Amino acid sequence: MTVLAVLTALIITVLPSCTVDGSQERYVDVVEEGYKAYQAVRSYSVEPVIRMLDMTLKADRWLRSGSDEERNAVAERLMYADGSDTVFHNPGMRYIEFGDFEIHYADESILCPGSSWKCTLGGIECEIRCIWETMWEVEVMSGHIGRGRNITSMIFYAVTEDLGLMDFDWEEPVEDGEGKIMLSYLFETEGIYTEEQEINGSDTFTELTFITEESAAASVRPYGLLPVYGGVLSIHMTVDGPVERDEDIRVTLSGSAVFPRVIVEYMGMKKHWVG
Amino acid sequence: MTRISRFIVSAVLLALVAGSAVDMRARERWPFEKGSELRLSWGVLPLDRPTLYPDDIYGYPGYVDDSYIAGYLESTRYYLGAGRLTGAVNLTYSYRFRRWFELSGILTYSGYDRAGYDKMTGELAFRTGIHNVSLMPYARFVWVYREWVRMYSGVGAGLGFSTTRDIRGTLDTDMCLAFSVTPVGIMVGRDFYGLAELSFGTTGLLSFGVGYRF
Repeated sequence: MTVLAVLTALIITVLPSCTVDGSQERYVDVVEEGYKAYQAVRSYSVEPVIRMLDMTLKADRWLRSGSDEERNAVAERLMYADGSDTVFHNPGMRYIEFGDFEIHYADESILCPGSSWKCTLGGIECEIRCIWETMWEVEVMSGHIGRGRNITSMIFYAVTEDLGLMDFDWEEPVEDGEGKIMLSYLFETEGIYTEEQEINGSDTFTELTFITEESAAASVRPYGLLPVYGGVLSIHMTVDGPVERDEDIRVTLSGSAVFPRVIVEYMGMKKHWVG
Repeated sequence: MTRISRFIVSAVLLALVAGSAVDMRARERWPFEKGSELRLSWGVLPLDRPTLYPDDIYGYPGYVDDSYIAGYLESTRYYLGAGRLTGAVNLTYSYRFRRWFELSGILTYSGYDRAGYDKMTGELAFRTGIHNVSLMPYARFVWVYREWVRMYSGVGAGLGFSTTRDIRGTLDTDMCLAFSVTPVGIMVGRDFYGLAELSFGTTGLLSFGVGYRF
């Protein structure tokens, strides 16, 4: 009886007590691979190109200013300058530099159909061509982002109905930090983005080929990530390395500039994210 | 049922058994016989590497920048299954020299095991684990010596040897001190007996087992 009681105590205590760490299986998220691919396209291809187009349009407005006071108001409210930013202007070389942006302008305003300007942001150089008064074509001429990231090729078309916002009353005073004017765009694009990375001594190569199936929208803001909403983006991802992939990704963008939603379909599964 | 409540139930069971087995007339001295004993016990929460440092299975990983897609795929390639501790499994040989004194040798095994699985297929990809084996001489001092019940305290120290295989398959070995300090233990039975013991050290915080005297 003694031994039986001890064995019972052993069984009660030992058998259920062995597991000390839970399985991580419930945290596995395969669809997140597709979301990561979308984030890479948005952050390293779509966002810099939209920002370059946006800054080019605003630089055009800055050049049309008639006084230093007007130029300061445009820099603060349209180009989001704070007290420490300066717009460097070199009229002799038709060159404006603001923050990380460099804009080479032509005689004609970028709002005139047929006009062509150049913009550089970091290692990305674009040629921006006006198709008609509210539509532009942006072609990436050089897409060396750095640290193994590249835009191999990209063509981008955008329209905006917000040009009128740039003709604001610059003489009207605003509180410090207030009055920022934001422009929104409807766009279509296609291109190829690549990454090279060394992992544990092995070289990896990732290629994302993307195209908008339906036009998407973006709103350029002075802070935070660029919200992209509306539209459908198709991405084909190939990865060569310790882990290989050759997959299609479909990204449906919904919501709004304030609350963008991303629905990713990948490997037969679907999941959504905010932003 | 929580772990604490399981311990309480087990302790109550043992106390009942001890109470029912005690022969009140055996408060008189029971004749002493020299001889040997073999014991097999299991102890919870041993103070050893598998219990205290289970995260050693992660080893020293090289940095993988998961802001890149390939780096993200590599860093999320596997997931770990449940991690299990064996507790301390103790095999003891004792020799009774005196009514109040026994000398023992304790061989202890304790381990932590966790497997890795491929995220896409769910198939087993690798095994990791920490295993500890120790051997120590142990002195037991018996302060209640009855026909059916004996109570004791004890102390022992020796050497332990542990191996760790991390998630990358790297094997690491280490030597360490093995020890056990027992404020109180109880054995209930005659030739065959059950035991329960409170200790601090490699043999486990709370041990239960069976033994045989010969």
